[in-house]
Amino acid sequence: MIKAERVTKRFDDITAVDQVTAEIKEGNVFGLIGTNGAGKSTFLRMASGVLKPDEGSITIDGQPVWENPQVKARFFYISDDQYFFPNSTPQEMMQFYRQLYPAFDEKRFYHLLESFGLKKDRKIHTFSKGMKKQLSVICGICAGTDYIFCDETFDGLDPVMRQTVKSLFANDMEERNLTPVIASHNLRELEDICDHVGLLHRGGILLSRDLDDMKLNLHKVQCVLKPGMTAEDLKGLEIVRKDQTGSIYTLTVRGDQQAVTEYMESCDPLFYELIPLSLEEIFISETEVAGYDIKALIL
Amino acid sequence: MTSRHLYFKLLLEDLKRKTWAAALEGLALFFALPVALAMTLSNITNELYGDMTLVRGQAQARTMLEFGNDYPVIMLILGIAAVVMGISAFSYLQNRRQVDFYHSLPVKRELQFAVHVTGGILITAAVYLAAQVIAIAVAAAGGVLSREVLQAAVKGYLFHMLYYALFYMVTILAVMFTGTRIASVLGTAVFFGYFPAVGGLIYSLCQTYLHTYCSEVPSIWTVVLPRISPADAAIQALSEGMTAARGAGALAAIVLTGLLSLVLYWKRPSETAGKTMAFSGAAHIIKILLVIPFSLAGALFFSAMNSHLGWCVFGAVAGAVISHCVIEVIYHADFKKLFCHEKTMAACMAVSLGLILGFRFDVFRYDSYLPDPGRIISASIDFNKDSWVSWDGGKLYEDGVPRVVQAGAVSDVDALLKIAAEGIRQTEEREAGTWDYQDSSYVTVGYTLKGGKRVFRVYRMSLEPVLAEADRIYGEDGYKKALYPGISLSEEEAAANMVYMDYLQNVKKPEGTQEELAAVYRAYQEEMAAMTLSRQKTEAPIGQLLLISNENADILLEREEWETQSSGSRQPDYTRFWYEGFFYPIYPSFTKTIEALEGCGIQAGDWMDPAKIESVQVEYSQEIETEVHVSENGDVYYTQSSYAEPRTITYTDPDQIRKLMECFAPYSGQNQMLMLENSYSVTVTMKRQSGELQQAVNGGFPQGRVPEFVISDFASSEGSGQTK
Repeated sequence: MIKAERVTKRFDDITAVDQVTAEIKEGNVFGLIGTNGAGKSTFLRMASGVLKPDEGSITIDGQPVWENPQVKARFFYISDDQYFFPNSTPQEMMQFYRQLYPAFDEKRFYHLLESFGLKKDRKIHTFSKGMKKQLSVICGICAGTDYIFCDETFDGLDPVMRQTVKSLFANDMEERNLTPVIASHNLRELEDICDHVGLLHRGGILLSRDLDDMKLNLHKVQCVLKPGMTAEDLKGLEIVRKDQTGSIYTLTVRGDQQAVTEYMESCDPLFYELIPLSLEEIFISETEVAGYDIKALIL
Repeated sequence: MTSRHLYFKLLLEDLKRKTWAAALEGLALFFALPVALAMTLSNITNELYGDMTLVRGQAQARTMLEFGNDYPVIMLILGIAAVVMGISAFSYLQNRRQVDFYHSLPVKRELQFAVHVTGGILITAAVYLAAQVIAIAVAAAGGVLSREVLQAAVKGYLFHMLYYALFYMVTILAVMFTGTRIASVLGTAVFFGYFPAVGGLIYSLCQTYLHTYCSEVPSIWTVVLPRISPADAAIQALSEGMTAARGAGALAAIVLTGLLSLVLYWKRPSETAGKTMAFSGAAHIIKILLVIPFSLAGALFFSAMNSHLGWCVFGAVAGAVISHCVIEVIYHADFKKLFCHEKTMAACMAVSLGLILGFRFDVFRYDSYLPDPGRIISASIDFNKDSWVSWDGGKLYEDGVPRVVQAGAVSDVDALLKIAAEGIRQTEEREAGTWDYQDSSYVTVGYTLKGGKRVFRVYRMSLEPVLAEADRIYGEDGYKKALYPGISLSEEEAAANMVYMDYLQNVKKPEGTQEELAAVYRAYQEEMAAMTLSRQKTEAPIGQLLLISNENADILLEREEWETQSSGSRQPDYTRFWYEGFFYPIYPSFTKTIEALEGCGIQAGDWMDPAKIESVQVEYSQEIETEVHVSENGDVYYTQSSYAEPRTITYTDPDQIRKLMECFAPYSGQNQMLMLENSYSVTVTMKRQSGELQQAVNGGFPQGRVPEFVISDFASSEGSGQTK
């Protein structure tokens, strides 16, 4: 488990990460969401031992990451603009990584290269941005580490590739309990892959929740109430958000699904149904409660 | 994986990525070593060198393969390579992408550091070794390979690599402080040249503003600071030869800079990639350490252009502002940050202005320094009138100060302090523009104070007001012996080596018994001891005696033997001894010496006998009075002193020749108290003896002693070339 405790990082007079506390459990996909400059990359760079926190600590299974090769060998960091040696080929990069990550799967590397349509002996500097990202992910996946840190890795990948990468992650999570930590400024990108999401804003963590918990506790209710009845009359519901189009109410409510269903039944509306919430809607609701306009932050 | 295995694997990967450097270095060294040697050897042909062909070839091969000043090309190539390799080895620290990559790898920083450092050394070591081996093969093919050549090659390789490593580590240290490539280059330049430059700056300040500064005395800024530079260390080793101490010093510096670089590498925050300076605290200090010297240099530069105080202040301000702004722009990579940290700039400006004005107005009371007599352990003085004399075979100076001053031989310290006080007074007069003496010389005073401190001052002064004090010191037995080693010889040595030479450079060995020659020496010792500076103002030497120790005579004769052989003459050329300063002047008042010499067959000064003189030619150039000129635009004023076209009169009348010779003083340099008239120069031409070349002596008239008839002759004649 990766544990960040009151981690702070300042660059001159700018506090990039401010007292962030978070836990990343193994076998989960941790999504780190935030606008540009929210501190996602800084957090990941600290988590990968590139930057030293000014305050607080980041540990993996209780061991500090900073200057600890044993711990650093347990993750592979893919930065937002991954570096490859000048004039190198995928094969040469693989040979380099193989020296450092004992569990590097060379066979799988070549197999994935072929699957992605990348040539092992082509100069990387001739690759497109997306191809470089693909190569980074292949290297990261094949490194055989417990964790893979991806900073804006999905940015630049086409939808097909994105799905392919996601399925690769899912496969490794299944097979060897890989824990991907994915930073992105795009909420929609992480919607179908993350188990746990942390929202960073202005260096601080706004919320950190299991997606399932959020999904189980938040519901969208679309309903047409009996004449003379308004949404304000639904006292038994914890309404987080309310929209009205004519006589149709769209309510975001917090609470157990069964309890919400039973309450709606008891109100005898003309029509009602529970609609699943998108990650975006969940965030909108959660952050509005906290007093933030999420649309302004990450959408 | 063990660290050692990982080290070698990473090193191999690092070397792979530095093949470009190996190629460039290899190319340069290939042309500078094997190709250059092959070309040189092909030029050494039997036709040109005959029997010496092999020796010459071996010498050339040795020169090119060894570490030395005769072939500095290798050090130059390796020096440039060291800087390039040093900057490129850790250039990844200046790029965020690369920092993210390298520092996220499961490798300890120490190991990363070791891999990158050794990579840069191993590449050059391998390439240079290959070039050296090929060059040895070339030497072998040319038939000039010998054990000496091989030894020179091995030593050359090791010593060159030692200084390569030093340059390389210093460059890496500069890279550790900086976050961009341009800053690394500038940082390297600072590390290579800062201390020598500051040393030179302080030296210039002292020379410019301290009027009594003894510039040749070794000091921190003339001896220590210039040495704190890898370039200087290499130059010294190249020019003066490699010693164990130099090697140990270079090794120590490599280890020290290496350790310091490692500590900085470890402490260096990754986020500084792309910033000019990696450590903000150090950046501030470095800026201050640069701005103040630049400000002082600005003040000096403008002072040299125009001595007005305003320009000096302008230079200091301009130097501070410009350097501060440039550094801030480099630090922030933003032109708008030009006047950032203006308080620091103001503080630097204030410090440099304080220093420069302190120097200019002698706030530190340097020029007016006179030690408390109670604190003086010993003191001495050099009147700068005896530069002709030799000290142990030519070493007139010791640590930049006349040896007579280092000897601290003056017992009349009160007289010395009076002279120093007069020197201070005349220095002030000179500054005020009221100094008005006809002659001046640089008088050096040295004190050894309680506690061992040594203080030296040089006064440009006329001795006229303190001639009595100067005579008292000059008359001291200990002082005079310290001044003239020739009067402290044993009688045996003096007698054995004694030679008389007149000013026609005719040499004659006195003939007499050991006792007669010793008597000559005793007479000379006595009369030289009684000689005063005041009397020297009135007398010109008439001849000179060689007074030299056996040891120095042997040294000179050994040198002379070779020269004599090459010139085909069997007689030693005693003018060489004169140049070396072993001939001592005989004055007309040295009657006992002259008499004793007569007893040994020497007529001292007989060359001045009018009967032996054919003619005396007097040349007169009228001095044109100093004039003030105004330029056409009326802005520029300057003064000029010049002499009119010379006119000559040749005197052949015996009576006139006699009168002329009574006043004549030959140019000898042995009596610098005697002031000659600037407008007159005299050539005395001797009568030709059978079978001899015609001889002549050049000289002049002492001030105020030009014969009346000469003055009136030149006053009445207008043309040139008259004969009387």
